[in-house]
Amino acid sequence: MRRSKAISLGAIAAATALVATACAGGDGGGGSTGGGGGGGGTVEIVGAFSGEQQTGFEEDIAQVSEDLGIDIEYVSTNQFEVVLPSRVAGGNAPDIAIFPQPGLLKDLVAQGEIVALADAGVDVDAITSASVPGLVDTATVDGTVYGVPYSVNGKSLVWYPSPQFEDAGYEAATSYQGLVDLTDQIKADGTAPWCFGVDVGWPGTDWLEEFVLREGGPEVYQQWIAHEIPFNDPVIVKAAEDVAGLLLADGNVYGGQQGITANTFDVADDGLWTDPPSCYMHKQGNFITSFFPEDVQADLTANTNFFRLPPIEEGDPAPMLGGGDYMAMFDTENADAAAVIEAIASPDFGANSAQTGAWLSPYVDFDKSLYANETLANVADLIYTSEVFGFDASDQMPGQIGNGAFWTGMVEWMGGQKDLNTVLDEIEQQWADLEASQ
Amino acid sequence: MTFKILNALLAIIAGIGVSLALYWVLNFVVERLPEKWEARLKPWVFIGPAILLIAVILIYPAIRTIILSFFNRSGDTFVGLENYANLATDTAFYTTLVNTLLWIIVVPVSAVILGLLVAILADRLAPRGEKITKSMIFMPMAISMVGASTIWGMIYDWNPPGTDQIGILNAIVVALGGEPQVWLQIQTLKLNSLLLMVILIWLQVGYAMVLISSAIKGVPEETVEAARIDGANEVQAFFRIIVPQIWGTVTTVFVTILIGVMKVFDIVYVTTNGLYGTNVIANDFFVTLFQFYDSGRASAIVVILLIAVIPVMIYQVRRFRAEEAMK
Repeated sequence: MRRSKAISLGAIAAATALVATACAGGDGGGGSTGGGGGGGGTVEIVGAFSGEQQTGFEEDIAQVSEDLGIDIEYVSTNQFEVVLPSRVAGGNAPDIAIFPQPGLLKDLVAQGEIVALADAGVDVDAITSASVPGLVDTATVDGTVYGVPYSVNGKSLVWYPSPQFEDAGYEAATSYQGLVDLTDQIKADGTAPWCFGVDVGWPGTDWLEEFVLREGGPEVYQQWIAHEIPFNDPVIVKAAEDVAGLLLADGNVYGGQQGITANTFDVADDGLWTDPPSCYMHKQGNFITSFFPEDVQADLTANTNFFRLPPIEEGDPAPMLGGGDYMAMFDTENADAAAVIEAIASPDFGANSAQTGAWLSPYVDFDKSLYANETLANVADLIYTSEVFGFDASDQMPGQIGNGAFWTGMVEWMGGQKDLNTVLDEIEQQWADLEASQ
Repeated sequence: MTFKILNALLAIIAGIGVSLALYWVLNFVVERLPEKWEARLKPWVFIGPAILLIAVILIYPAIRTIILSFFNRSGDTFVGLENYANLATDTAFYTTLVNTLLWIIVVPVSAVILGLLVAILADRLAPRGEKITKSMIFMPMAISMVGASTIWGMIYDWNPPGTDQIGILNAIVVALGGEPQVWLQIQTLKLNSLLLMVILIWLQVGYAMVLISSAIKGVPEETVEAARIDGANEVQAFFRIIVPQIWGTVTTVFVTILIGVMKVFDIVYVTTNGLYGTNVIANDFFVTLFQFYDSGRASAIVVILLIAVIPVMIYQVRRFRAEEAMK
């Protein structure tokens, strides 16, 4: 028996409407966690850091939240460079993103996704003058500031096991020649002077950047990043020869050439802590302290110390290679986000973060006594008083070069697979090809 | 947090509910139709949404990828064949292609041969021994590629000479009086690539063994008996009687592993990240897209992979049809 057509059609229409409503309901349920741009009093911050640093940050933003009356939620992702662009492309940008590298930030600026902070009402000038000099420049495009620093780190730090280092009568070097002499002295005493591992390439690029900054000064350093001088320019060659003079001579690195290529960054410092030390010096960013053995970390200041990788000549401006995370936003109308950025971009922010030992304030008036230990306070002091700050060059180059050809090239050169000139010529060639294809 | 969980639950319930409702409504509609049309359309009603879904999430992206491969890095300017031309002249990409080819040949062949070997030998064991052996060899199947890479990373680990060798391989070498080697960086005869392939073979032998073993058990005993009576020895009986009867299974296993190998990414990404001449196509694609943000070149790379997979797929489908026709 068949019912009449009319009833059937009516039933179909009703059912279809029901399905449509159900779909809409489902979508709403799935999408509402994203948080829109502005309003509602909740600010979502997406960043790449996690663990202790996240704990400290969440305690600090809880305070900000209380002061401003704005709910703040921090979302950590270890796939930041994949997650953020896809969220932005999907129209689901967070209120604030904390970029671990300026490269992606600049890409999104070029795509018109990130707004000028001044347009959103952030007091950019005040933040710029409060921060480590030169740090804001890295997140500035054509004179407009798109990002302000949330954190800073220093890489021109040569760590050593202080009791043994001092017992052996070694002293921190204050010039390049002094460092070469110290290297030779340690080697003559029968120990490898340096601990070093090139990992996937970035510790190698760091070393070359250090000496480009020293040999060329900040202007040449910027020209290098902008590819206004070729990658195989004489300045770069000179800088690389400086690196080779310290690391690549026979017997200068613990484990030899195999050690250089086999050691990942997290184990490269291990030789410092053997008894007696297998190597005495290790240049690495301040983050490395959290990879030191637990008994060393228990009393960092007693077990280890560091000196600044010296300028070429004693008395040259004190250089510091480093990096930092930048906060940026996506909507000029988002007043809550602007207020939160201003609160975080201040020397008053970060008492809890500083205690974790995983974070350094990029604002020079930050109370250094808040840092977890004397070592970190000294690191911060060295960064705050540097006369030249060079932001990690490879992070500012196009990804294909900065995280590609440059990394691979350093591995091939330091691992002895290719000679210096071949490597520099190849990187230059790839960069020229890249520019030609754009 | 609870809000998020509730949201997720709601999404799942809504998703399933909507799907059910959709099928119910479509079925309802078809049942209203004249009987002839009902019979004609009903299969499509049930298979249609699946086909639509595949079209939307598989075929459309594939076409889009092919189109993007003719555009520049940000996908907004047409550049013709430039991405392909750049790949063709890039020596690093040439190494990547050779490596991928090596993976495609070495891994499926080794996995199938080893799987076959284990299946035959285990077949001769007492039931209890057979069970234990097979379980042991099948176990790695349950390990993710990242997990396996980490495990094997420890086997290949290097420590400075004179210190304790944590890596088993180097511990053996040192115990025999040798120098520890950085295994994954030795490019001579592509040793490092081969050592990475061992990881995948280790993962896949179990799969090959299980399928081939059941095929061997399906070979009628009379056929083997008949061969023996006719004077065939064990080796002849195996190659002339058993192998032809399990050949279908062997090729299926081979092709399945082969297609998996073409997409191998995790192992290389975790261990060497494509350095030291170990790069493969899938890793190259990932790095190009997600680290270099070059969608044009990345698309061109996967299109090449796609083209390489097609003949294998065609072969597999043809063989499958031929087999069906024989039944």
